[in-house]
Amino acid sequence: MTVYKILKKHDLKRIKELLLDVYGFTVPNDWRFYNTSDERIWLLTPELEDYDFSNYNIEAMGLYFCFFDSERFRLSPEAAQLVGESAGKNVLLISDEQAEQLIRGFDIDIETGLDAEYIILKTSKGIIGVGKNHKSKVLCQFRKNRRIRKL
Amino acid sequence: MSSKKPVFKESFKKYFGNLIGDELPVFIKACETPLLDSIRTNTIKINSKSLKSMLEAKGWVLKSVPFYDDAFIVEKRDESLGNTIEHFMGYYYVQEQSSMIPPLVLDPKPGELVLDCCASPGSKTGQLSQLMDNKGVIVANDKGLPRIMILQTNLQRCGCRNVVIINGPGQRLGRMNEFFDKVLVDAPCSGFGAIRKDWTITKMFNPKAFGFLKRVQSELLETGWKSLKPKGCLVYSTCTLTTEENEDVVNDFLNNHSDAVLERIKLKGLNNCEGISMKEAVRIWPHRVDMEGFFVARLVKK
Repeated sequence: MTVYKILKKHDLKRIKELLLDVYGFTVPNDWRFYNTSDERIWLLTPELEDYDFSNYNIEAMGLYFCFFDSERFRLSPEAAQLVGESAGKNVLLISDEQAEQLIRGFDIDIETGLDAEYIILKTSKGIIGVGKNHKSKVLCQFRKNRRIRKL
Repeated sequence: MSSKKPVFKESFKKYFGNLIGDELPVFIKACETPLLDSIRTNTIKINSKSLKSMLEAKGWVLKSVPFYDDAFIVEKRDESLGNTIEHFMGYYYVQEQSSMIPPLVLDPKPGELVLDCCASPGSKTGQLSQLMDNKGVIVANDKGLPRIMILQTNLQRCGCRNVVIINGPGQRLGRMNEFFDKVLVDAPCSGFGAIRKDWTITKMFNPKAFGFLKRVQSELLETGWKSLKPKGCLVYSTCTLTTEENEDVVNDFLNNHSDAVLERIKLKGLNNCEGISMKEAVRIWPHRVDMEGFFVARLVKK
């Protein structure tokens, strides 16, 4: 069973600040953030707050949004898609071939010219997620169970 | 799928011969014919027009699904459906056409509270979520962590944020008395509707098992009904073709529930698929409609 708690005010404020500072993204009013004990933040619809499911064996609620602790703020691929469409900064346009490399689990060599640690990756088809901006590389951040070996 | 043709037991032929008579040879032939793949646009992330253009640009040949604007039959492609960037990005979900019928029949609206009793792997849950514009709440239940993990992964990829995933036997959900606006009971079944995808199913044909399955299905239907609000709607479905698991379950249920009304299902573009002695329900026979076998019934609470 996973216990979900509504995000504390100071953590919520920090996440909103980070989204604005790092990506130039303003959080819509109807987004509700919850966290679980493993430093993970979840995005829920506001209607979910109207019901109490605590008597049930809840395994997950809403969309996994990001990992958030004192050192890291890393968006999930789906959160990157939500944020990236209207993000004003730290979005890197990559080719479809580069996207394929990352989805297969490989890092790519590229000078990003961006300052964020985790940058949003955009292709001609849309946003695929985030990569770690490290020296002259973008490091793959996709979990192993999401990668596709044969693309 | 194996290149070997399926072997149909005599008991299989006898059983279905009793149900469809002269149509049996055509039914058997249809069962031997592999299904074309189909996909559902995940409208949470992209519209069907854009997805179609994107996939056709890669050489795919897509045909519309007659009863659902947001789905396509894939007639030609050069890559595995699950190994594309578009799939990775959650732009589409690989789902059999007939499996798209129950959520359409349930017709959930944004803001409603919906129960999906047997949710994994999540194709119908994801479809419910997109039909609700990712608003309202879906309680998606299934039993066992491996099934839950698959469900969670699929819903995450589709970007669903209005789903609560609960792990436990569906029968336990009856504690949520008259709680939901709509309920989907897509019950576990013998799976004979899926013969065209998996010919090995024919080897498992055993009418003795239908009684046990019927009991489980009836229990789930009972639980779903209990958790449904008055005036609410419940859809019962299976991906099998036996009467014991379909019409019999619904008939027994109607005999015991004076507050239940079986409503006729009308879906534009879906014809020639009435239930056996149950015109209100949808029964997909693969030789009559080029899809996987399926059964769907819609019940409304007075």
